[in-house]
Amino acid sequence: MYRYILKRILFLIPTILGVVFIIFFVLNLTPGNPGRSILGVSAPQEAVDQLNEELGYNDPLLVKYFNYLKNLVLNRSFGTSYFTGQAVADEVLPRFGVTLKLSTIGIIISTLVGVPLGILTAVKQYSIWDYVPSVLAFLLAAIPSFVLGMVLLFVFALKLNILPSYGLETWKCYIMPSLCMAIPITAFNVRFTKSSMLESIREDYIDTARAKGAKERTVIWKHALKNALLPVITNIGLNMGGLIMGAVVAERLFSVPGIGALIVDRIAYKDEPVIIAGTIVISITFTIIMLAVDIIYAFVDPRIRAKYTKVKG
Amino acid sequence: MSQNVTAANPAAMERVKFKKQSQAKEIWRRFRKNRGSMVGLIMLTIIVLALVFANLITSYDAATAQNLRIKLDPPSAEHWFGTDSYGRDLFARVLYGGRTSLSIAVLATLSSCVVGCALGAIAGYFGGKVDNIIMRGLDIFMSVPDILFTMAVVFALGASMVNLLIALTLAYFTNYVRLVRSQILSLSDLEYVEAARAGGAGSARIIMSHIFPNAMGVIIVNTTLNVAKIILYESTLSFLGLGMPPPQPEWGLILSEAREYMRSAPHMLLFPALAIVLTACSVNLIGDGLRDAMDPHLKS
Amino acid sequence: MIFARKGFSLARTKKEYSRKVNQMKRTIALCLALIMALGLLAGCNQTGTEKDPGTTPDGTNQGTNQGTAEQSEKTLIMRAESAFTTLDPANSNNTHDIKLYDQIYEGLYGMNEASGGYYKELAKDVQVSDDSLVYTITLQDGVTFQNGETLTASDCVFTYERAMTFAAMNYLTTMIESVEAPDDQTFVIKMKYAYAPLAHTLFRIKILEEGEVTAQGDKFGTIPNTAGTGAYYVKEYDVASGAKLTSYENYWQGAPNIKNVEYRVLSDAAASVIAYENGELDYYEDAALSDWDSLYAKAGESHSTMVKGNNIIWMGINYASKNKEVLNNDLVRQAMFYAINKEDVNIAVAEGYGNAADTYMVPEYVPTQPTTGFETYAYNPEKAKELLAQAGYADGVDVGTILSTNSSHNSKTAQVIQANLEAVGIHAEVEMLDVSLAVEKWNAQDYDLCVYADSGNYDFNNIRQQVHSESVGMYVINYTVGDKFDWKRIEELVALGAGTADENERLTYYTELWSMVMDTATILPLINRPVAIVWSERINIGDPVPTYYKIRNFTWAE
Repeated sequence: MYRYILKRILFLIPTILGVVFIIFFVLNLTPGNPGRSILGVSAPQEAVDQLNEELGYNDPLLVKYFNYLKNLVLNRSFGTSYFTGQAVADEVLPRFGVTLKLSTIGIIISTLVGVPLGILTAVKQYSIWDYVPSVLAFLLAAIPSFVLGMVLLFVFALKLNILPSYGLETWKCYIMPSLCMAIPITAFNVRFTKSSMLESIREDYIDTARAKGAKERTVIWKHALKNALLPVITNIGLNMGGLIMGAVVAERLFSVPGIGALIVDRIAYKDEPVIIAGTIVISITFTIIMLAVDIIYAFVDPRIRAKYTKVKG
Repeated sequence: MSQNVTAANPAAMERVKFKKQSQAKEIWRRFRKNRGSMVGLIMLTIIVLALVFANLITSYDAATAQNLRIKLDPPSAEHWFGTDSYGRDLFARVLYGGRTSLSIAVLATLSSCVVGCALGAIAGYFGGKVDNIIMRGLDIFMSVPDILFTMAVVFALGASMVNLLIALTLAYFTNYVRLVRSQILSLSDLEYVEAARAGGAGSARIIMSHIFPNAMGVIIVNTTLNVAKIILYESTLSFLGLGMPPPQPEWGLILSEAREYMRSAPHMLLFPALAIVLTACSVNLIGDGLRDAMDPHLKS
Repeated sequence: MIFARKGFSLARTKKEYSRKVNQMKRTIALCLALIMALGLLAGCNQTGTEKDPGTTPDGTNQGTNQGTAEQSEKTLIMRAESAFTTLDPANSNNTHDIKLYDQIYEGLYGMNEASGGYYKELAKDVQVSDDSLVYTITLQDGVTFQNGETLTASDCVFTYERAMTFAAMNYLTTMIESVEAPDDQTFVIKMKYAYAPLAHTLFRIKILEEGEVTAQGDKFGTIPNTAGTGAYYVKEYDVASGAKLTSYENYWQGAPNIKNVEYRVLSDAAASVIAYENGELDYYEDAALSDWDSLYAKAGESHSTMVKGNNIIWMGINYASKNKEVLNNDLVRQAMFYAINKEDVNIAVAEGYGNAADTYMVPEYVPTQPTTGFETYAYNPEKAKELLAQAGYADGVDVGTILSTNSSHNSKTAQVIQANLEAVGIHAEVEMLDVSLAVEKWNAQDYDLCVYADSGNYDFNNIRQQVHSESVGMYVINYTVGDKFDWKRIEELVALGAGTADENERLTYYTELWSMVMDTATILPLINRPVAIVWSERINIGDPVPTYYKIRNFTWAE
């Protein structure tokens, strides 16, 4: 078991190699250069070219790739940003922490609210406990996130004046951005859990359990739920990954210094060191999350357990 | 219910075809009984008809002709949705914009579904090294934020319908891979599949005729959810400045233009947002209805 | 599924199984907890902004009528529309970076947009030699840097020589031959050639204290410093979230009234409006005009103003475009200009609060901008159609692509232009590119039509950038192609205008110059946008200026 986990974590190394290469490759294809963005429109072309040369931007793709990796491994450094000239680690890590905090809060909210609601709507299908949350989930899932964010800003910051509209000073500042990110995911969780639960309830072995005389409550909780949760768990993991980048909109709207906004802003400046460092950090986190999800999945899925013991026998 | 069909038995194949037809009728019957799904179907039909026959309702010129004197007028008899920030008729823009948005969403969903399912099927069915390579490659790919790909495609190739499709496919195909793969893994050990294999059926046939129909339910639910998601992702892209170039109407574009007037002229934001919500909802309702109708375990 | 193919032992009995499950649950919980802890740790490592007490208004009102003791606790909240890229004034041409530099550094000249143009700041007296090649500047007495050192001419020499090595400052220093300091109070600049508008350079090059800049070395600009002479210095600086300034009590023109300033990065305009209305922002300039109504409702007459902006949006036609040779046709270009309704652009871009512009720069800010004696192409769609027919395109013509940057003003302008042209039968597409890409295309004259915005001009000589073939930096229209226009005369007029200090003489040259340019039908000024400013009731701001405000002129309201 631990060998397996170790293998997956070791897989991080080719992941990082792959990610760095992909980004250099992708950015190489896109036009534009940092020199022009830094020096402004009135700088002469020679100065721009010279700056690009100094930054190492004009080096061929593979050279840049290996230099970056060399720097990463030997000097344990993410390099310096083309745009600000500051150490990338100083810019990326704190901002990543911010996004991670927001995403974690968002995932917790969306799971704690969405999954039980989804179970409820499935179990009490066709009743009011089904219609109201389902309709709400439908609507909330269909609203564009920046509209949602603006409405939140408008209502809670402006009209009611109980929450600050930007920044991260106090704990109150975390509420609206997290909500903005969490609400669409919650809505999705409700619907997905409901459908997963319904499928699970309709499986044959549930009928068997009922036929054997088990109480309805046992049927739902012990049998149906466990199986319904499998795809839901996978989805939570995927949502987490998606949230980290999906935080861009919330970060822009609420002026939260997060990693999503950082990467998106720097793409225009072709600030390769920052973009790559940010993506590496995100991908490491994503890998760890997916690993956790896979482990949980394997242990909770009785079919896999069963299959395995059968083979072993 | 399992059919062990081999190519050597044409009579059995006939029976299967007949069985499939009545299956389809059965699914339709169940679908009709579900009120929510019918509502969704009717709504979507109305929307699609309106979009297809848009030029009978109002001309494309109305969607692009500017009249800055009547900028941001609220809804009136002459302009049902009011006017936008350039004085163009908002109703016409939403109508013609729907054509673009919906076709992009549908096409992007289809292409990401095909790509994703194919990859997932290959990974799930063949397993072993192939599975490993595909899944690890997918993990690396998913680590790169999809916004990055989208921006790169748009920067490199310019913003146009085709490029947007490419970007959206890249962003969404990953949804399907894991899903299909896990379905296949769960299902491929079921007895009837083993029996089919024993009967001599080839791998592709097994995948197509046995595994896919059962995985279909999950795929369909996901697909309908994705159509709605893609419509919203388009609007986010426009928010970030990556959507279709103006002045061609498109829901995401209208939303991004409306953003700065959200407080002074909310109608410009309201109507395209409503259009998106209604379309997404009806698609989702249909998806849910289909899933329920196709579920073999559902008691009639 | 994954485990099935790798070998590991699984429990056979139920008890062993549940033990293993519990083990697994603990491991997973540990993993997740680790991730969260990592995140929280990384987040908490942010220095500064999170820990500062007493300077964070989360929606509550600050105290008002207290004495100076209280006032020294109050912090002015300013908005930074994007991150400050660097604190090194020689390394940035970003307008909003310069707004920050104006608070902490000073140049030999200052800029006063309210009264117009430049005035002497660190320079007490300036003598220009007869051939205009030597500037002898006497420095002010008693000026000290924020680190305590006294301002001497050697600091000036250090600053200018340093600036001359920076690519970003090239367009400001390229005309300087050398600088020297014959004594502590005298600073001499020797020019390569006569250059009347040197004042802008004297304003933009901010004098730095030699010792500290040398000591900080490469780090200068990335960490706070006290190497300026301005009324404030940076106490804390974080690229992501902004900067905190503290007053320099020994500032040579007197300690400022406001002691603490905080710049917060607020990139979203709509969110900034809400922040202002919520009392979380004290000074909001260049507000989006679409929000003017709600801002004005909150600020009232006394705390809001619309100042004439020093900016022009104009449209350019590349008469030598290789894609669209039809653009070489004078009648077509003139028709295009007559087809443009500048009021439309005004309504679309500035909600009607701006005004149509006929000049390349704003006359209220640029005394040397000619205001009469040239073609203006007033809106006349009928005439446009006539000219088109004359040119043989009565059924319409395709003129290629309008190249614009992504900025909201420019892209709106491009769309209005497209619609105006369409209305007379001229067809064009809109293409929007990122600034760096657009610049490259403009520099290479690889475009058909373009939308361009220019601002911050105080001397008509700046037109050299656009019309002179040897100009360093960008020019959008290359007037030398095919000798179609009398570009030699244009360049001659530029040199003549820069070579004399007599305002009337300069106006004569520039009138001829601008008239020639307008006759070529390649540049059409469109509109001038006003700058909306609102401020909170906590402060008084003195005379409002559109761009380069000075916080040292603000005071707390009693």
